[in-house]
Amino acid sequence: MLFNSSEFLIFFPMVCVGYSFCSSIIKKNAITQLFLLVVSLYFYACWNPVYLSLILISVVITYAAGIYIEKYPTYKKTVVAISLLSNLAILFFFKYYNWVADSFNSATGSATLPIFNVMLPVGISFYTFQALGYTLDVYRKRVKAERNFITYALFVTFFPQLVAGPIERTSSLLPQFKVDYHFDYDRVTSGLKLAAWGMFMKVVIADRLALYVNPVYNNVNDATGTSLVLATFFFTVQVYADFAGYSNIAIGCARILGFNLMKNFDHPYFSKSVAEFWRRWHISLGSWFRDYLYYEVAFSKWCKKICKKMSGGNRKLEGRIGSIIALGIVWVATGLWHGAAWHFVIWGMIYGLIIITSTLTEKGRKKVRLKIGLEKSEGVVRPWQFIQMIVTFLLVNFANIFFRGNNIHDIGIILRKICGTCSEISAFFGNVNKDSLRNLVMFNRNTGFGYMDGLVAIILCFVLLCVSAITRGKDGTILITKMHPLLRWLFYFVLVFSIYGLGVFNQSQFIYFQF
Amino acid sequence: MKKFLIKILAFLAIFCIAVVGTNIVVDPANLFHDFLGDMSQNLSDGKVVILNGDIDERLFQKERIKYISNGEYDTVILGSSHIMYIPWDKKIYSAGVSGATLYDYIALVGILDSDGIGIKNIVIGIDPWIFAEAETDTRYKSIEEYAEYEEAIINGADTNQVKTLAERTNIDKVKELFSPSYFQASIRTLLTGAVVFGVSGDRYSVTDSWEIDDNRKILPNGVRLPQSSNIHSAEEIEQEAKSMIEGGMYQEVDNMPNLSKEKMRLFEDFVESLKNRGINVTFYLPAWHPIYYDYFTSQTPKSGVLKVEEYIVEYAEEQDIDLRGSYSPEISDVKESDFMDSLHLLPEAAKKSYGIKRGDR
Repeated sequence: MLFNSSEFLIFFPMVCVGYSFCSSIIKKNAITQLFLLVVSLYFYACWNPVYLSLILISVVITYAAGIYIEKYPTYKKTVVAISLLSNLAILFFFKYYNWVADSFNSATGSATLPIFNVMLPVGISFYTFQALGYTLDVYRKRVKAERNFITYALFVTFFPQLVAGPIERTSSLLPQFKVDYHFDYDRVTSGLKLAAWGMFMKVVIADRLALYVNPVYNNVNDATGTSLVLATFFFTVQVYADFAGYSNIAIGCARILGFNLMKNFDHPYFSKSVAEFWRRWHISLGSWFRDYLYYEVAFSKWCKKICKKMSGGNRKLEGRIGSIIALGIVWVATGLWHGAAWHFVIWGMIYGLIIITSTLTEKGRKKVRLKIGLEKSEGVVRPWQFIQMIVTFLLVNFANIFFRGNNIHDIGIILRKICGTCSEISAFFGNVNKDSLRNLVMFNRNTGFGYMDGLVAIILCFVLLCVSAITRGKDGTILITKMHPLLRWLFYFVLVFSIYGLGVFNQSQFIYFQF
Repeated sequence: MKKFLIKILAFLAIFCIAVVGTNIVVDPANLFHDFLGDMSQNLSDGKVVILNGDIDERLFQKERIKYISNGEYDTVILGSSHIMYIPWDKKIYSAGVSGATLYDYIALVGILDSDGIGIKNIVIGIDPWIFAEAETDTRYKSIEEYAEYEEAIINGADTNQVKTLAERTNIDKVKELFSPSYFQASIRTLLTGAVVFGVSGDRYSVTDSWEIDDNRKILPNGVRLPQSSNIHSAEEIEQEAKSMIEGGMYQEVDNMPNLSKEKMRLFEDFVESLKNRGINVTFYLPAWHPIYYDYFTSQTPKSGVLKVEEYIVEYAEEQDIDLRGSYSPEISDVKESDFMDSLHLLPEAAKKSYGIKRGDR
């Protein structure tokens, strides 16, 4: 069931009514939890009931692992290894096996490894990581193992964040299920506002931009360099509107039900460096990798051993090498987490390379900035901050070519064509007319995307930029609450009518569902 | 909670009233106002209709066909605007719709079938884009349910599905009241200033004149009369053709390197189904302007337009189907001056090209 489907529009109000009934009439937390668990499983089963078994296996394994880790501390390493390996084995089989087998077969020119006709279970990377996070938290004694199976199962399967995050931490979400629900007008309306804004981001902005991005990226041979540049820019906005939109709907729905989920996006396109971008983009995944992979690698014995050997006893260098090794592993893992394809691996490596390079050169760059007056004691000067933002945005756009491109071959064509954009544009200026513009940007040609659609898309990008600028460092829902009632209601109607009047309702999936 | 519920319900009520109200008043596909039915009644009474705005030609055909009595016409012509201006005989009904696709042909026969109208002859005006791999035109969706119905007949399903079809149409109507896509079409209609069905005004008028003038006329047998202002000079046509070649052709016929095998199979099944029911089938290939045709012949790899003609000639011969006209202006015996714009032949020239039997040359 998709958030942007008519089924969800019926499902969610029914869940709210049922949930209110359980919590205010029956008044038993166990029943309320059971109700939420059942609807969450139903939510997942709507997509594929058979794959419900996978999520339940993961729940059972990690639940049992948690208890065993606490009960038998001597064997906790073995238990945690079993839990990690079995969960990762499921993830590997369904998400990566065919890709590995295909790559191996192609490399050897044989059909040694069989290819299985299996569908990727929706949200497998999300719920597996959340469940693994729990096991590692119990292992590291950050949280106590949960004894109530229903509470734990609900923690892993809670429907608003089940299929595309945010990947929640045990300490933050699990205790919330044990608190009795009370209707809170401000919280519910704030959740509704957030969900409505998320829906706007998804069906109006993301899906409208997709009308141009998809035909251009799916027919790279016919596309012009200019259309590819424009499609890449639109995709950069689309992927943000799509995923942040999903996260807002998820957080909004959870808030209506009385749960606080973590913030997943914090105005990422206002970042002044790629490292900052990743602290603001998909925060729940970034922090998961930081806490459960980066630190685990950087402070592991084997890593320290390698660093010691390579640094020749230089402590400073040892730390740097450790950091580089951990960053390299994290970014390859991030690439792989996003998809079983080489272009995702390259995409992750590009980010890794940029971040490692910027970490290594940070001191030198700072010295230069101070010397030429771009940075003062109070920080980087404003115009330079703006340039940093633009450069970061352009780097993200570049990396997105590897993210959106269908395969390595297509990406090669895209990069080659983009290199020819300048000559295309200069040729256009030599003969400016409506038809040459149409050929250049491919509006109305092959894409079915007209000038009016283009204008609407640009206006929507601008709207998103304005809203992001206004809400930077503030809670948008509070800003709305502070408005004059008449303006506020006008805003609600404009928002809902925009969703209805401008939305693309072909039930397109959220981009991050595939991960 | 009471305060919250009151606010939410009030908001939803206002929202629903606004959406439903807009959809009913604007009614872009004329689902809730019987304007097209009224217009069809006038045509059926032998009047000529003058259109004062755009209409959904598919829905018009659906309504018009309802008023046709069995035996009134022995021939129905299917096709795009390439056939809708041809001055056919009064016993021939022109079911042309702009940019017709294969699904339009099938849906139009579906309408005839569901209304129980028996036809002896069907002429199919074949445009090359009907075999394009990409679906460039989705206007057939207005009568999509009839395409599905006819496809069921082609596949040997029970024709009693007519009732289900009628029921489904009524449910669809209710759904459309709340549908976001219908709401979006309403807004588009308002913005483009097209005919708003629910708002009073002269959506059409009737006349007894069968002459070409500056009105958009529909004759009782479905034939359209072009507006005199739409008949362009040779220079204008040449300019129009050149700029279309530069900027991308109508229905992207210059960009169809391969023909869709699926559509070719569906087309053959459709023709076979008509023949199996004892309907005499004729194909007609409308001529392209020489500038376009020269462009197609110069394209490499071979133009899809030429491939379609080859395929149709071969298929017609194989199935012993009468084939008229050609995409080639030379074979169709038409020249630049026979065109009213870069895409359409003048009515009389089109009639002349239809008279050319391929086997006779």
